[in-house]
Amino acid sequence: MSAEDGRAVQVMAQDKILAPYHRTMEEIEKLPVIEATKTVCPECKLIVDGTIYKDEDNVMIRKYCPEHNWTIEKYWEDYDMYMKMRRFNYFGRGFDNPNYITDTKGANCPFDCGMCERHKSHTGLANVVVTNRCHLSCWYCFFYAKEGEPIYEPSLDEIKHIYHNLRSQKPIPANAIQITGGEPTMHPRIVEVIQEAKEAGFDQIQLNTTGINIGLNPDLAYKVKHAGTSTLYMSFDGVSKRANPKNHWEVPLTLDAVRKSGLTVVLVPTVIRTINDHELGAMINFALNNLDVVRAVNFQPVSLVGRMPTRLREKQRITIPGAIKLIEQQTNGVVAKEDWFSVPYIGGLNRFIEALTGEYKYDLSIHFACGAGTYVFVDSDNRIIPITRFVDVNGLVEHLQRAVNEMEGKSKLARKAIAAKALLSFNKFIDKKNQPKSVNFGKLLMSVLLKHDFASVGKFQMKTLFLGMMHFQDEYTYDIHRVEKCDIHYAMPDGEVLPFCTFNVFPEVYRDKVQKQYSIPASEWQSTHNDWNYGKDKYVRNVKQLESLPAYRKTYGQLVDYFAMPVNGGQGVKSFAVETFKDEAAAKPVAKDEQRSEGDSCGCGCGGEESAGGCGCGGQ
Amino acid sequence: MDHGEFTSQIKQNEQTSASASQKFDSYVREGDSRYRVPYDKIKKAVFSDIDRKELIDIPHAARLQYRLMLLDPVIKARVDYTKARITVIYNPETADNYKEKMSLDDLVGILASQGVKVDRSKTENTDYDYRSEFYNYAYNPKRIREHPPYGYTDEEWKEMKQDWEKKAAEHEVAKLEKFHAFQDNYLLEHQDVADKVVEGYKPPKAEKASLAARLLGRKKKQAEKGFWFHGV
Ligand code: SF4
Ligand code: SF4
Repeated sequence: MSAEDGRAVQVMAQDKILAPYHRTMEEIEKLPVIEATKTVCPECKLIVDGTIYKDEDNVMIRKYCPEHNWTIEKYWEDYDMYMKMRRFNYFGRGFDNPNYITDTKGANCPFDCGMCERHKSHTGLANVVVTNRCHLSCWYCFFYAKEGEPIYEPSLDEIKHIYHNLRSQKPIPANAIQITGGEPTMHPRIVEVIQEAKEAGFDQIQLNTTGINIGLNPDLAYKVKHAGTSTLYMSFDGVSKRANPKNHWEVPLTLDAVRKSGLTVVLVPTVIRTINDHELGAMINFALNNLDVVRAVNFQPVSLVGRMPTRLREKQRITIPGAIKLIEQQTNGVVAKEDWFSVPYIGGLNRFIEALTGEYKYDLSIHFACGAGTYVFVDSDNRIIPITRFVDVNGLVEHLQRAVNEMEGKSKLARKAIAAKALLSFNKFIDKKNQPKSVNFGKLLMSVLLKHDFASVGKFQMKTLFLGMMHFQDEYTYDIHRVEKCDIHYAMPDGEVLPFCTFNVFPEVYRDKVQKQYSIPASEWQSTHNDWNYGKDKYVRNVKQLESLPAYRKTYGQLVDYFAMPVNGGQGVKSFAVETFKDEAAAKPVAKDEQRSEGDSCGCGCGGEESAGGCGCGGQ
Repeated sequence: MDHGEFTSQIKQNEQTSASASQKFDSYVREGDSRYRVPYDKIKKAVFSDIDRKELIDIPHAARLQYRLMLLDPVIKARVDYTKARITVIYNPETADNYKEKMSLDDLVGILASQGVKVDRSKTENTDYDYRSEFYNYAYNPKRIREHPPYGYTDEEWKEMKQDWEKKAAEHEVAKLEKFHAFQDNYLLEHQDVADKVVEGYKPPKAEKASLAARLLGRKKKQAEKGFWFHGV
């Protein structure tokens, strides 16, 4: 194909991606409607009807505001997948003791949060912000404290108070927590913050970090592990420098520190079309190369929060299936779109255990469009096998749900008999021929369901990688049916608990409002922290020095390309780091701003050569 | 109307501790603990002489609620279309704290600008104790309902509940013991950095942690690698 042909193909592909945005309303109104929902006008926040409809392969949402006309947005870039995932939607349990009682009982959703009594899911993952200070200054981030802004940094007492609140939730106390910021490792008592979470009874503690402080100060890795951290939830937007200017240079050091200390990592790429969507396969490959410490890659298709030009939004928008289809292309079909299941599927397994034992289990009852996931297994011959190639996940979950329904109102003995019957016919959902050679999945699942032995899953997971997707909402995609089921919550200093997708989508009435109330004004903070100023918080990167470190060269220079192997399709992944590495070795030594100064907009070290809006690196 | 236009209708000045009254204590104390709570005695205004037509419908009522919440001095606003009632918890000009303030007149004016006419004299404008009524409630919310586990009826749950609660409490204690055993074992396994992890660390006299501690520590390590969907 000539370069011109190549460009023509690209333009056509781009046109196809943008086409659903550029139809007349007359054309749009003739397209098949899938369902109705409630949403908000991105301009004035009026709650308006949303219509979810099919446009060729896409699922779209349209809404009409009498003052601001029509808004059209992509909701889900694959109709078949949407219909498949939709089957597993269910309402979970909200709080039995909601933290705020409203007169309106949630009728004004999403403006009645706190959590209100209408909310349909308990806290699955609790986020606790421990500081709004950050050592980077990413151009797109609205969250960190800029010069002169108040500092939100709750004390250890206040944080313990928040933990206690979360652990008092009924009927299911929050059990997984993400300690977040700003950059949480900048909290002067971060180790105690973590230890106190463990003492409060949280089983899973994630530290949401750039990883930079841990990479540069490996002792901190031991400290946070010893204090009870289960995993680092680490931003990672690509393998190359251009895609991941945020922490590309420090990741090798962080992984080393994690390895030595016994921590684990979840890599968290924010996926933006045209910015880093070409590196999804490369990121999975990177994770497979570090399977000893990387538990999961949790892709987050970008949430375009805040007002932005329509053209840019259309260009950058990507949804869960959009990213999944790119992964299929970039992994030679090894991880295909059929391999993904939506989060509520897991809720199906838990409900079975709960009905059998009478003990509350986590619901995971979020909306099907919010998240998806799959496990991939690396077999002894390096073949990568998604779990769905040997387990009929749909069939299994439906089978277990039937058993749960049958158990209702039955005696303990009868329940056990129903469970035994369900488990005996279990094997028909497992294709033993195709399961990885070194695993007996039927046995493993049996020990989870019968003995609730998650340690076996742990062993299994040593050779597996969890691939997740979570698409946070924004004003354009907003769907009240999604947010009322949200189970990722923020615990606020005023005692309220807020869904992630109201906290961040309407910061002016939630996140920023409450944190401002509880912040310490800049002047007061400065008077009690004599040596401190905003600039001193900022990290200054020495690119040249970092690139010369053995850890850097080893991490990016000795990667194995799993997808170039014949068992995995034989086509290497794009932006594979070894190639980048070779190019770099031959090229000029270092970027012109190898030493970032305090005033730089992004802290990425990318060289800032491109476009407006900071350095143009995408800044993620 | 954009946010700026709306919020600029009132003057909103935050004072710092240096410029405001020195009397206000931003902290509440419980035993040895101290929590920063920015408000104390504030006001709650209830407007119930509203013509429902002015609220238009639930979506417009919700948007009015959103708009009221945009104002810094408003701590909570509820616009109840069904009962044609607006409740606003706000920081009045008379309050002794450092946060942004507004008057009832400001509030009435803002409602009027939104097409909702209220009679100031019919407004209940009462004292509101932020600390006990809002903050303490949110930290100790009462139970308003009870969900039994899946597959069980309310009656069955009533019988099972006590046992379950006992088991859950025991589980919490056991969990903590396991965690502490893990910590001991971790330091033994990482003697080279142990004194950096715990200042002044000295290894216990016995060379190794007990067998139970080692087993528990190991088991914990495996269990932590469970399913990963929000880490569950
Ligand atoms: S998102 Fe949930 S808590 Fe917020 S108003 Fe809606 S139902 Fe209530
Ligand atoms: S955070 Fe947003 S995307 Fe995730 S579950 Fe909640 S509503 Fe859905």
